[in-house]
Amino acid sequence: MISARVAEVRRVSSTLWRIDLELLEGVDEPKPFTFAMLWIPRVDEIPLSIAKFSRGLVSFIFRVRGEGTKRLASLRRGDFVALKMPLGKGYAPKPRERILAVAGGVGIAPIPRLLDFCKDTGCDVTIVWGVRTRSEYCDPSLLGLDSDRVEVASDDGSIGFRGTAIDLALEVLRNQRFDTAIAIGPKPMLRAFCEKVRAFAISRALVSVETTVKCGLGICGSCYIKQLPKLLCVDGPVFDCHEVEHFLEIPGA
Amino acid sequence: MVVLATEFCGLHLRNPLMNASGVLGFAPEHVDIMASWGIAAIVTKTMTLEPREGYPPPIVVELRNGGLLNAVGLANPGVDSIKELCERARALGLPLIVSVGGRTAREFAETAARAEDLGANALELNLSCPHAKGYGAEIGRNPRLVSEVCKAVCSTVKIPVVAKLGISDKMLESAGRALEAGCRGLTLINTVPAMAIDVYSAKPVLSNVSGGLSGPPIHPIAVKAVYDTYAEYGAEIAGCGGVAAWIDAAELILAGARVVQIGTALARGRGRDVVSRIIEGLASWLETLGFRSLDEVIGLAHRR
Ligand SMILES: Cc1cc2nc3c(=O)[nH]c(=O)nc-3n(C[C@H](O)[C@H](O)[C@H](O)COP(=O)(O)OP(=O)(O)OC[C@H]3O[C@@H](n4cnc5c(N)ncnc54)[C@H](O)[C@@H]3O)c2cc1C
Ligand SMILES: Cc1cc2nc3c(=O)[nH]c(=O)nc-3n(C[C@H](O)[C@H](O)[C@H](O)COP(=O)(O)O)c2cc1C
Ligand code: FES
Repeated sequence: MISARVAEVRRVSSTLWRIDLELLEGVDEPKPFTFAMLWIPRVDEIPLSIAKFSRGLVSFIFRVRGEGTKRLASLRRGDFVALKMPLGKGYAPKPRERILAVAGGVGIAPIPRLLDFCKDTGCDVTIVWGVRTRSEYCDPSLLGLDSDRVEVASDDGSIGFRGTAIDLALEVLRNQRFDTAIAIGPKPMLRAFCEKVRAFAISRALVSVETTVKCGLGICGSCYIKQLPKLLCVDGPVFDCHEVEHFLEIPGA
Repeated sequence: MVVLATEFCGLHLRNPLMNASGVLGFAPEHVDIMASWGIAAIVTKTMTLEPREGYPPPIVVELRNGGLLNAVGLANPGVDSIKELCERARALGLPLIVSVGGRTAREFAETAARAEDLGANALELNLSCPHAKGYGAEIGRNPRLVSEVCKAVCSTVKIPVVAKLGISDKMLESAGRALEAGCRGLTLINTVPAMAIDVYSAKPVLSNVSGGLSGPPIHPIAVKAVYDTYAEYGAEIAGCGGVAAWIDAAELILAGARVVQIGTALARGRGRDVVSRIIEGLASWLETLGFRSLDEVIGLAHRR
């Protein structure tokens, strides 16, 4: 585990929080969509996507769900935590790859890292972000997402396009060509994405999924994917749509 | 060509390698993953009669010394779940050894009988988990209880039974009692009691505070445990503890192990790589020594 010290915790929208950590030891540079197990001493250890990374600093974007994330939101500058990171294979696009990234809600978390990676290596990202309503949205710069190419959708039309992230993504796909489309968000959204994206000529349709992650080290077995001989914490969390067909059918978020 | 195929407690194995209990081993998907590693038999996660949640994370942490610390708390979906595992293993042509846990001789016997009914090829009795209260080591370090549990199980099932013990001052005596009670073999060793403290927050890292140490730091301990036990009983032994390369496996075999189990080294998706390298390494080692089969070197370090 890598020790880290809280630099800042702030609420950025009605549902989203951002935490910046100062790393006290060196770590390998994380690929986009890799994640960390963040340990809050004597509270919990939870999987979180790596949202931002620069030498000595790592950030996470999260939503308060239960006890663990609640305690994460109440950490103070100077508190100590520890990390196992980077975990998983993630997804590292090739230079010049044209990517459509579709995020639902807190699914926006790994996108800043994807954008930074592409700035360094020359891939090209278009971002679609769907929220339920305006209050869940925040200026992308607050998430470290420095792009003028974030297309926003809201279910109630209170900001941006009126409709779901998938509705907007389909609009974008009709007008622009991509090599890869990748979606991250709640299961029903991913299911719809995998179903609808088939109509378009893209070479890869990927989704970043969630399972129970107890160890992050490929040993406890908790993160297996239904009917797939792979572990999320080793091979994921990004999979081809066709690999997770059965997994996406299981009800739940 | 050297022969790595062997037999352990009546099971025909195409090589001497299997996973150690607790590496995956409770879902059919796990069986597929483990089969792809090239091991000769699959050992399940320790199964109890009823499902167990286990401890909350952190349950496993890597240590700076190359070791791994865990306190999973015997999380498992219950022995009934092995039906699917047996079916999958059978379809893949791999023997399935079901690791069985319990608190009393009766619970062990009941779970063992269930496992046999559902298709287990052999059983490994977990008499050595160091961190689940009432289970494992609390029994293993008490030769009288070991005897009771092994007798209860061995008189209930027909499939081969192996007793898995950890190091303790009673290990040799417990091993003897297990064999006397009808166990066909022994697995040595389990993890070693240990803990880790985060120096910044000044807090124990594992949710259970303490747990069991595995990986390279315990390998020499396993070598001695196997050596001493083989010297005393000449039993069939599955050597386990800190095996990461062929040379670690070779040492355990020379000490008296007939087969070798690998746990920690299979983490982080390294299974296929680690297993294939150990198999290649053992084969060329035997060639270097001029032996034709693994059977010829089991316990060779005892020869004067
Ligand atoms: C690879 C990976 C990356 C992730 N990245 C992020 C991220 O960047 N930001 C973020 O906010 N969250 C992320 N998550 C989800 C995050 O781990 C959970 O929100 C967190 O563990 C909840 O912990 P808790 O103690 O607050 O809630 P708990 O008390 O554990 O649960 C509270 C409620 O949330 C639900 N819940 C818990 N975990 C999940 C889950 N994995 N999926 C759906 N529902 C869940 C439970 O069913 C329960 O109803 C990620 C998960 C994975 C597997
Ligand atoms: C995460 C983890 C879980 C384990 N779970 C079990 C278990 O359920 N039953 C058991 O008998 N041993 C269990 N063990 C112990 C291993 O089977 C093995 O005896 C020990 O790890 C030493 O081998 P190694 O150094 O190759 O890992 C577990 C070990 C680890 C690391
Ligand atoms: S979380 Fe333990 S194996 Fe993936």
